[in-house]
Amino acid sequence: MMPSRREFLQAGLAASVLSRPALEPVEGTPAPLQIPPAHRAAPEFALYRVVSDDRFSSSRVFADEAERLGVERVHTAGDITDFWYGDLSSRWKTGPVAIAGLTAHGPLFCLERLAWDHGLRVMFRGTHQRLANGQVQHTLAGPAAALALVEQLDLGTSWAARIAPVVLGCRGDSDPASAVVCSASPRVEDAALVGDIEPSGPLYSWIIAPRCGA
Amino acid sequence: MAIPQGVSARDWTTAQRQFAESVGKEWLFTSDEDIALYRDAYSPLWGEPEERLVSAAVAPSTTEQVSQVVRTANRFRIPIYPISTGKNLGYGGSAPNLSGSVVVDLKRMNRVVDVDDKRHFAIVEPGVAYFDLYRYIQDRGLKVWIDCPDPGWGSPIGNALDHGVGYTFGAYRDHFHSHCGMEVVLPDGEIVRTGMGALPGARSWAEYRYGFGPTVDGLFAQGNLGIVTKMGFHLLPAPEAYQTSVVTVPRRADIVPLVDLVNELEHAGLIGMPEYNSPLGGFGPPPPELAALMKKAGGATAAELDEYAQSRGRGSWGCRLQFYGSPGVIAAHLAHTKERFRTVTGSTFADGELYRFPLTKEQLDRVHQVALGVPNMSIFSIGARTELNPSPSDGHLWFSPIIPKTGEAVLEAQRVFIDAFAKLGIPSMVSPFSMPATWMHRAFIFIMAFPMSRSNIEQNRRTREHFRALVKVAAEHGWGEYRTAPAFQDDVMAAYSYNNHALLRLHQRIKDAVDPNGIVAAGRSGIWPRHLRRPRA
Repeated sequence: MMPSRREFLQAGLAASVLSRPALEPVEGTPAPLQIPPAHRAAPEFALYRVVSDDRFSSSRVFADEAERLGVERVHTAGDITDFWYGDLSSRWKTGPVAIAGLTAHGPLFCLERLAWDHGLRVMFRGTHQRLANGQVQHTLAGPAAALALVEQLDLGTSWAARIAPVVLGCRGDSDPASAVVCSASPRVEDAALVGDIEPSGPLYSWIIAPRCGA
Repeated sequence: MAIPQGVSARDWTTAQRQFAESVGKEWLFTSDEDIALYRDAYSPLWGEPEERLVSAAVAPSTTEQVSQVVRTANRFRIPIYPISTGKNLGYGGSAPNLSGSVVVDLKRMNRVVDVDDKRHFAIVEPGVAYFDLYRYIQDRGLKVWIDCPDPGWGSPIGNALDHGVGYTFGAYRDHFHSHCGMEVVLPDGEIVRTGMGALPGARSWAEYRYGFGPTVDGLFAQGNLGIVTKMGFHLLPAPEAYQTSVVTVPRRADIVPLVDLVNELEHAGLIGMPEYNSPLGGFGPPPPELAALMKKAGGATAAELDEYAQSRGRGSWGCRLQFYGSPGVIAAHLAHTKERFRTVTGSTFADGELYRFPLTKEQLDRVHQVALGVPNMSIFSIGARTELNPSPSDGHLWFSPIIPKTGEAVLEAQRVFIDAFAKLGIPSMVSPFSMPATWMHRAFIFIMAFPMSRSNIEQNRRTREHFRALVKVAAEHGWGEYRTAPAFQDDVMAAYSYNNHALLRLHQRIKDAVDPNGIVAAGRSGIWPRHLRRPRA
């Protein structure tokens, strides 16, 4: 019996997304990230919400992709107060669960610091900076397997959608190797950093997840 | 992991074991990954050898555990640095003054001990955040308001102990002023309560702050004589309604009667926090005609600025007044305010909507929420890139000189700091339209934000030089900072130099007596323990 979309996510999004044609695999993707089967269904590794910074088209595209994959979406305009006060603070008191997003610096800055107190860490951080020539520089830090995956992707103009499954898959697990955050060399692509308003800095793709052993 | 300075490896190992025995091994943090979380996110020394880093962190959950941790630290002379929620961004975050200190992280002490909406107080532990206290009150439908800073993710105790401020009435928005009684663990581990709390079975801990005898509470604010583990706070009775009105005055010279009248209203308790502005200023570059006036040799004259303002139908200065109470009280206070301003020719009022509580979500989104005691983090959705701050996300340092609460002082501060920036050869953060912050009840703060960089050490070095230069400029004019990051606390304390630094010498005498091993927050506010004290140049 085929798993439901939500069960699919609970079992480890990246591995699933990148190996199942039903979910429109991104072109040129290599073998999936390796997530130990014993931990795929662990509730603390569930992806709880994706944060959409609705001021920016790229963020909405990222969240669209996550939502399409079954992750519940939170709309913000850069202010995470309602999400924190009305939802996440209560959820994290019952146990750590992962959240992700593509946002400006402010939401990530706040959520990362709030996450520390609950044993969660940023497992993947992509910095997407518009350059003076209109290109976008992607500077990524995350598990080596995820970086290798992105290295083989043609991010292009669809970078926000294409990077989403990879980011969402970096949820930590009991394999220490997958929890080690590495840095990749910056890469520059001919792609617009699409924003309905001009971001005052880069946009960031990220996932905050329980750290290994948490 | 670094071993604290002056501590042997053997003692360090023993102390860690005792810390773990006191709090549980899972609450002793020694890995590089964990202790990195205590870096000051806005450190002006980021990535430099002088950056203030910690050697470990320990997170007790009770006052008794704090006492045990302190006794261990005292036994092995290990420097410790207490934090509540560690959100003091712009003033040091959770980083200590002395590298190698062990952070005593009080986040697990997150109990709301009591909230009373008949006598209007709360008693909390240091790990309680403003959000937590707000939720506690909302969940129970209690008829009191908190007063919170912006952003509101910090803790009432941590904020009050750094002389933090908020946005409602003066008696409440000076957060240390609104405190009432505290419980403190002294450097030898002894637990003491102040005010009425010192009376066993006291039933008025958070109502009468003095108790009997000399008041010592102030020694624990911006101080280093102990770890505060509980505090009482006076709370504002929830008002029925809220309304704002913006008063605008036409001429540049009108700033003097404007401030005088607003002072009168505020000090009489008729308004909450006033918020000044200039309709000629604001964010972004000035319009070309105004810019041309300002660039003239010697700058624009008051007459030229008045003519500019008049020709465009704009005032020179404005102030948003906030009224709280029943609709009848608000109407009476507003009418009285307008009557008082009849003496300022040409003054006008723009009244805001009268809000009756509780507000709808839509109403709440339209108001400045902290003025209604509603904590939020919306400020982090703003990132203003400026010539001086090309990477706004990297952080900032607050330069916060206290100036007198007069229009004359505002104009003088504008002139002095514009001149100071010119002499430093950097773009000015001050314009002829800059207005002070009004968080203090009885003084202005002529606040500025210096940028810091995570990647440009040279820029940070220059920023530190500029910051220190302005500390001296301010002091030369009788203005001193009320609060600053550890990197500048020696500089600011040095400015408070009356009678050959008699105040600092008094602090040092007290420090030596209460904390002879100098373990608690060494260097806080420039107060170093004897063994780390350097001779004054």
